[in-house]
Amino acid sequence: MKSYPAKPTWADGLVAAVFALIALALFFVLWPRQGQALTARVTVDGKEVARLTLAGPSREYTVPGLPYPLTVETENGAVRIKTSGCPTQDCVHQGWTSQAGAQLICLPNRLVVSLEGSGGVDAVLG
Amino acid sequence: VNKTVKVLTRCAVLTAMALAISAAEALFPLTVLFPLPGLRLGLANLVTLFAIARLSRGEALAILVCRCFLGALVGGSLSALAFSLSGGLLSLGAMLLAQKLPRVSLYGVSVVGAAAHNTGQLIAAQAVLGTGTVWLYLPPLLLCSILTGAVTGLAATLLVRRVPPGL
Repeated sequence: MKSYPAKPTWADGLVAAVFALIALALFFVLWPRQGQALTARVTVDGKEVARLTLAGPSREYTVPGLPYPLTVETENGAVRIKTSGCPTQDCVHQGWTSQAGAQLICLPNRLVVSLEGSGGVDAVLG
Repeated sequence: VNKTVKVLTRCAVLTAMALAISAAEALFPLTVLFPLPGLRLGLANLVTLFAIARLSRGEALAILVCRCFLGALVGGSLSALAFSLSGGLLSLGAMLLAQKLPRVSLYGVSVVGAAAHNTGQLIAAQAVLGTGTVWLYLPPLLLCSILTGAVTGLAATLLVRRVPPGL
């Protein structure tokens, strides 16, 4: 049986630093720099079900045919998942977002709301 | 006591503990404080860390797989199983490698496990959602895993020191 140090060692610090560096590097590579989003694309199971314009006064859209009923709200260039019947509520907790390239996700519903700017997506990963 | 019975009982008790910890953790979702999908404290990893440090690789794997299947049976769905298995197995593999590094304590092993768990979940998320854009969440999740991993590492260090040998 291996015995472990009781307190964090410099090697642990090194491990943490490596992950922090990887995170920062990925952040600069992956993070969208496209400014304000114009439309929100709603996909379920990878298939597009709606395209919402973000500008203008508050509008709500209830996505049909989901296992857990879910409503998306758009207002003044931003979008949020207003309500969801899913057990985790992670999607609702994400709140408003308006950055092109960003996204809101409801995993139990397999739903993704992706925000797109005028130029469309910059890169598709994976 | 018969050795097989002892190992079986030990694994069963630890599996039950891991399930209970997961259930308790779900009552206090971290995502309320910090809205990042997939963010968890990952305290159930405590049991895996304990198994790696004090038991064997085989027992750690058995406990992990049983926990994933029972967890999905109790409260989840098929996609929940995909998430916990992909995250859990990648995490276990990474921790078994990290444990071989010189001078690394359970803190470091736990951070590696947390980071690998998040990566594994994103692999499942890409498969389930059918989009690669989920990888946008990797940088913030990795940063958070340094903190959540350290918390679990602290708990694991205490646990491994306090539980008497020969359990």
